[in-house]
Amino acid sequence: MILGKVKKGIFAVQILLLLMFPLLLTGCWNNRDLVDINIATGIGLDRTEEGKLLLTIQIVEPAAIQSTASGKGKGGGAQPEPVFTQCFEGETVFEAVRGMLSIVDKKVFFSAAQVLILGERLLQDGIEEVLDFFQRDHEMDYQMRILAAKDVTPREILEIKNDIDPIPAVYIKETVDNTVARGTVKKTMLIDLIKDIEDRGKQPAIGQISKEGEEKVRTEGTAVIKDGKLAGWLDPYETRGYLFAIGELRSAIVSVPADKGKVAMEIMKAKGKTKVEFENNQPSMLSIKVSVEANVGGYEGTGRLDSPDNLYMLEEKLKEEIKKEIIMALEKTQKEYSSDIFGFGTYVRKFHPQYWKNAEKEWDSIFSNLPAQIQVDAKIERTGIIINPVASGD
Amino acid sequence: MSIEKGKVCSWQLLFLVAGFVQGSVLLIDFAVGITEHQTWMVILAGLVVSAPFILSYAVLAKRFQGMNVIQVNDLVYGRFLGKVVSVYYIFFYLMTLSFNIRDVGELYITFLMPDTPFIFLLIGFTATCAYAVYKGIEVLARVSHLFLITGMFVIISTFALLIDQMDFSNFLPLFELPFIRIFQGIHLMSAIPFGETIVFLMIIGSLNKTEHAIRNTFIGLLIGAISLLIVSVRNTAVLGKTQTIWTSTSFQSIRLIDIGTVLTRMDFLIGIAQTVLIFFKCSLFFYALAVAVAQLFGLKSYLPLVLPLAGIEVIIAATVFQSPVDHAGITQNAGIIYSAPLMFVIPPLTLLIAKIRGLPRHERGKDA
Repeated sequence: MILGKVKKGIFAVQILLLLMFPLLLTGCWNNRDLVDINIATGIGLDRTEEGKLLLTIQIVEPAAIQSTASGKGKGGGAQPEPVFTQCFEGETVFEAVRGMLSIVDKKVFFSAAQVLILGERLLQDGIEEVLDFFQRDHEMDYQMRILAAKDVTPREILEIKNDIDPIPAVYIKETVDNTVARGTVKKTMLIDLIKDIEDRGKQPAIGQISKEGEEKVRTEGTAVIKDGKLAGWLDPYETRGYLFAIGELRSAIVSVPADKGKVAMEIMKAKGKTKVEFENNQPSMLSIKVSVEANVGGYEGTGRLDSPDNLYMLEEKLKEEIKKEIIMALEKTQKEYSSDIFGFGTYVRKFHPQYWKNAEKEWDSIFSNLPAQIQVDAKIERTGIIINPVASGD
Repeated sequence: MSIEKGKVCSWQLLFLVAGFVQGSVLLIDFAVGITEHQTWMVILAGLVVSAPFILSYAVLAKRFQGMNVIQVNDLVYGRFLGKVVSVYYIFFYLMTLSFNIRDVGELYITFLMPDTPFIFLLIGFTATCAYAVYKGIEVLARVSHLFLITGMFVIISTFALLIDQMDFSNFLPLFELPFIRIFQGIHLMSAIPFGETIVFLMIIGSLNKTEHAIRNTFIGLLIGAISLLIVSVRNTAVLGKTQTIWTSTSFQSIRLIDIGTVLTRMDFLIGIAQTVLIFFKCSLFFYALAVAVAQLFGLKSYLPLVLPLAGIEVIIAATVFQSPVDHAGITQNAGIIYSAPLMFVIPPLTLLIAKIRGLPRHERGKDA
């Protein structure tokens, strides 16, 4: 009887101890509360004229976001600004990041950073060195989008304020993701950039961002990098050709001239493969193979689509159109920039290692002088709810 | 008379070996810097190379049933020389254990808790291992399958979640690196995950039946090797050329998991798996160390030694290397040299001498 009571007592103590554990397990020792941190959402990097590094950080005050959200409509008086942008100059990235603390009151938290915008002057100066901090720091999100600012400084972009999204960096990131679905901007995440830089057979390409009007951004085009420095830009169509070739295009609208009007083709699936053909152990030709599946999205004209012949013609034209874009992109990178952003070098490194050993250093010039063979396969799957345009003449 | 009174089933040996080898999953990073995308073949080659030696461990332990290696040394080499050889074993256990403890500390401090004092991490981890060692080998063996399942679950699920980011052409060109680096990699592999199974010379003696000891050791070894292979293939396929730049390739590849922006930043998975697996490995090492020291000094029980040894381990782990770079450098270049004779020379030699002198039969006769 007494023994039973003692046992029960021990049992209760055990349960009590167990219940106490969760209290100890609530968080790490360097846990930081939401009200004690500033969340960096966007980061901008540029060089000043004196060659110093200019870091711009867009910072969100979580508490202030709350108050503006609830203050809206009530016409509440002076609200703290939820988002602000701050610059700091430093010799190195880390120095600037820490130096920022002499301006900002709370510690800056980088894990939620959505975009990293690189300025044109920095791109021309070389990006490889400054990226090291972003790789090394454990807080960085490797899925962070990287963008290259054209004709505008990162600071100007991050200082944009509009009503589309309370946090401009989120607005920029979402815009980039939208444009990726249109196939006119290269989606570059931090990890992609690191991979491209590490892989000596491929030059990095970074999505482009510029300003549209006073308070909006435009994310279209691609910055071509060569050996860590900016070589030039690709326009939206060339970007699309480039994405077709490397197989990174998710979807796109390609307009194709058809008899009596234009057809907007929606690319549903696209596969791309780049290869280098070899003859006698020497590279003889660059080969790009693309196959796409498309739907008819709209026919702004009066032609007909109801026979296999019509569709066949349309497929041929689509092929032509895609091929044209790929050629544009390839010729520009070959002749003007001489930078292998397609990763033909990677193919050579993997499949012809013997040749690559000697050719690695001169690969960019070898790449620039190789002829190219581009093969596009297009298949039209569906025409949508209607077959012929309403006003189709027959 | 052996110090350990607990008994281990023959099939539990399988899980012990498999979990032990799996515990080295973090350590293939040491080889990645040398063998890059060819690490997977180095793992296989390391397995093949170390297999005959591991066979010799198992045969040796089976031949001297119910004895641990310290007792065997005394028998085979005689009282004095046997002690010298035993000290070599103990030194190896002592150092390897402290390196492994340090690994855990470094993992935590780099990726999970950068501001926590290093020594606290070491003490916390070592204390947990010490607790397990107090409980004895029988308890560890009874839960060994749980460790194996946890490890396997994390390894397979992360592999599946990363399939869309894998590029299998990263394994090309198949034979690119100079042979000397491959050789160094094979040596490292045969020594670190596989050769360290020499710790089982202290454990196989506790088997209640040694019938299937050899078979079970090898099945366990194979399971462990397959886990390492999956991890290495995953890392290379996901990270490609970049895999040489990270502090921990496994951690990096798992940070890249991004399934519909919902399943992201799964660092904690590897944190759990690595902690659990290394805990298992370290506990086995710690157990072997404690029993070996107790046997050397002729103690009746190893339990009084656990706490002092834990203290020594923490101090060695905290001071032995200056930095992870130092750690990797010494493990790649020097660590495997001092351990090579122990792993690849002494056990086969012991076996040979035992055979020539016809030792176990003689000993059994004396016992009877």
